[in-house]
Amino acid sequence: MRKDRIAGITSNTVPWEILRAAGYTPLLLEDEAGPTPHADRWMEDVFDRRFRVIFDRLCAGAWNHLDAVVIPRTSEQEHKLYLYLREIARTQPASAIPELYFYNLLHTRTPESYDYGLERTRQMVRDFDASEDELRAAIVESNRARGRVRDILQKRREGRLEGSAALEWIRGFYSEDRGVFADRAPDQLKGMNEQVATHRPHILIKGAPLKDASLHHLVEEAGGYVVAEDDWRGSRAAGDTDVCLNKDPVTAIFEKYFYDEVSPRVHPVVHRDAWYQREIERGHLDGVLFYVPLEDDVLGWDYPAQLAYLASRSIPSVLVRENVREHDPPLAEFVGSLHRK
Amino acid sequence: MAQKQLTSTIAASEGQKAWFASLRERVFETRAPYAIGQADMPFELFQAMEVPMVSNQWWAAVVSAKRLAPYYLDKLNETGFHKGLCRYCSLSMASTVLGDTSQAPWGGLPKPSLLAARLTCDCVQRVFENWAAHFRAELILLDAPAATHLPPRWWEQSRHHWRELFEDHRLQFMVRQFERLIASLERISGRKFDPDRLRALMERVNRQEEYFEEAKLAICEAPKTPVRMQEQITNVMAAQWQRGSEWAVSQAKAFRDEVVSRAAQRIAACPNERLRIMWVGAGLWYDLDFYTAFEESHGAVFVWSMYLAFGPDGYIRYGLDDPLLALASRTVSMNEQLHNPPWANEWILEQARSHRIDAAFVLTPLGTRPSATGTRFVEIALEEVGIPVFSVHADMVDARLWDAEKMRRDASLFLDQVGRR
Ligand code: SF4
Ligand code: SF4
Repeated sequence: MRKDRIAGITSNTVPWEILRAAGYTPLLLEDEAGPTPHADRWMEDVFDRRFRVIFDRLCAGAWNHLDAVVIPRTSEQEHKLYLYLREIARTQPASAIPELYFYNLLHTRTPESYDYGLERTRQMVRDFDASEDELRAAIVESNRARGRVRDILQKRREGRLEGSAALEWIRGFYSEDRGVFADRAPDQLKGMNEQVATHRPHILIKGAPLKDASLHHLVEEAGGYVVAEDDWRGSRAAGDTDVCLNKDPVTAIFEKYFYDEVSPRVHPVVHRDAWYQREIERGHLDGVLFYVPLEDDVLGWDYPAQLAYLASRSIPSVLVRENVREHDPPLAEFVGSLHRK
Repeated sequence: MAQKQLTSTIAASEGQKAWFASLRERVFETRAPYAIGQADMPFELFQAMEVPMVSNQWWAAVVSAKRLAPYYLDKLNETGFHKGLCRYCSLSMASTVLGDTSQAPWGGLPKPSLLAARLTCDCVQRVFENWAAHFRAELILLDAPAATHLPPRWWEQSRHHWRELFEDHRLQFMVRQFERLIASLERISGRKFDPDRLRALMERVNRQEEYFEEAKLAICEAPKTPVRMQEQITNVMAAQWQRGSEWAVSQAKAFRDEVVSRAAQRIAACPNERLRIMWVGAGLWYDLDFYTAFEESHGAVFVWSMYLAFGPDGYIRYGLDDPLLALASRTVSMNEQLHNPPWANEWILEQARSHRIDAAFVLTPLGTRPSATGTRFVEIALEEVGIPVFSVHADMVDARLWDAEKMRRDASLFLDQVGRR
């Protein structure tokens, strides 16, 4: 399979397998340090830093290693990012924005959205000219990487791998060649047999998308053990299922991204909260940390109901608004008040 | 608020109040079904099925204009919904489920049978989920795939070439969602959907919008605007929420007649008019006096807002053999047209030219993401053609964030400069 072109992707809901089958190495576009003059000029401050950086670097021509950028419909910020980039490409002739592709995946779980998304996925396969064999090969490669992500998560559940380390490791699932990621993991996992969490309370992080592992570090420094996070960059990266190999590959790929990927547009709420509630019911948590910053405009709507659910199970929780050290004391106090079951 | 100058404005306000009173009466006395829905929902379907619908944004504006927003928004925050969350779409919910709901305007909203929203943002589904759960009402959401065919001058195609403009897959998808909505409306109302009836309604909507277009042209062409922006809004919104009804069409006609006749007689809303101002964004519902505050001092008159101009450009559809498809094309891109590049900036630029605008006030809403986007593109486009811009960072309904005096001072300084040019 050719792998000589790079496709930037903006989140977990871009079908990796289709791009891979078309000869691309898909890479998640990440935040990076530095000023963002283009974003400052064109973007309102409602955009998250990562999307500002993506916009900025693409406008500046700084990411010319990318041959294409693929953006999905599964968040409003990405929808707007796409429109803004299209507009810059239209009106600023000097800009060198790579080819943009929009994947109109919807996450309302209705029969109409299913049919629509499947048809859009078929269209994407046609647009990228990926053959069935190449799709199958890509599925195998990607599923293998998913298996390794589950191994990493398993180590963590056994108390042998810090949450922050797991989170940083799983980044590779999005930012590396998935084949290489999958090949390397078993050796690295082999050596990890020491218990690191015997008496430390097990904590789940729930809330706004995590930018990095800094919140994990704060919890760990306070003596907590982050056993899971409701986040596509962490515990939910591989999802519950692999891409099915026993059916038409396009349908299988679509169903994976439709049913088993996280996004803020999943509806109804029973599906949105299913993973969270299942984790709570498993009974392995000593506390929950809600991360709902004031810039958030989405999760705050779900928070009161999620809190009530937790209270009904008598699991303690803390609300963190800002992921910074000044807020360490209440967090530390919270972690200190928890006991490992 | 400044004296109303047009009889049609008084009729519009009264008509709307009477409509609401009769809705309440029917709901309480005969348990007639009614719906609450987002402003960009296909009101036509509800109209055709005789299920009245209250626009969420309209009701938020009413609550805000009665200066009740701070009370209900405080309640919302006390319940655990943080202060950064959207207020425009949640104020009506707060006023129906939190605190003393009997304080709400005109006796408040009764319990709806149905709540309906189009998912232009990621938060609105959550507002409506919470709301529907509270009322145990049915919830219908229309998902919103994005446009990828983006010709900038969309308004030149939207009336006749809407099939091509809005992309067939998006239109077909919307029609399928409409079918689900229609099934609910049939169940709730006990009536059968009749496409001919919808077609006739859509034809009347076209007529209504043609009247608005004539009024708009009169405003463009008159040496001084014959009607203030706020009165345009009152007339247009009252009719748009009931678009296609006999009342709405005749209300639009009365408005057109009055505006055209005032223009012919050279009656100016503000004889002192020296600067023609456009307001870009939703209204400042809690401080409508802001829009007349600079007439005396600067001769600055607000002559344009999206509400009147969007009627003809956004709603007219010719070729109604498939009325559901045509209706889908009216619903499927409303947010892009008003808030996103390239459509919003190109359209607003065109509006500024045709209305001979001297300066623009552009609202960047606080805490309402989809409506906050696209504003920089609008501002830059206007500035590039020499139209100075005053950026207003404020919420449409949350008066808690508004410093009326400071805003007037800053705006005055801006207008001083514009006047000197
Ligand atoms: S972002 Fe806009 S549409 Fe969405 S809930 Fe907020 S005000 Fe409403
Ligand atoms: S502000 Fe924009 S998105 Fe919100 S209701 Fe008005 S037109 Fe729709």
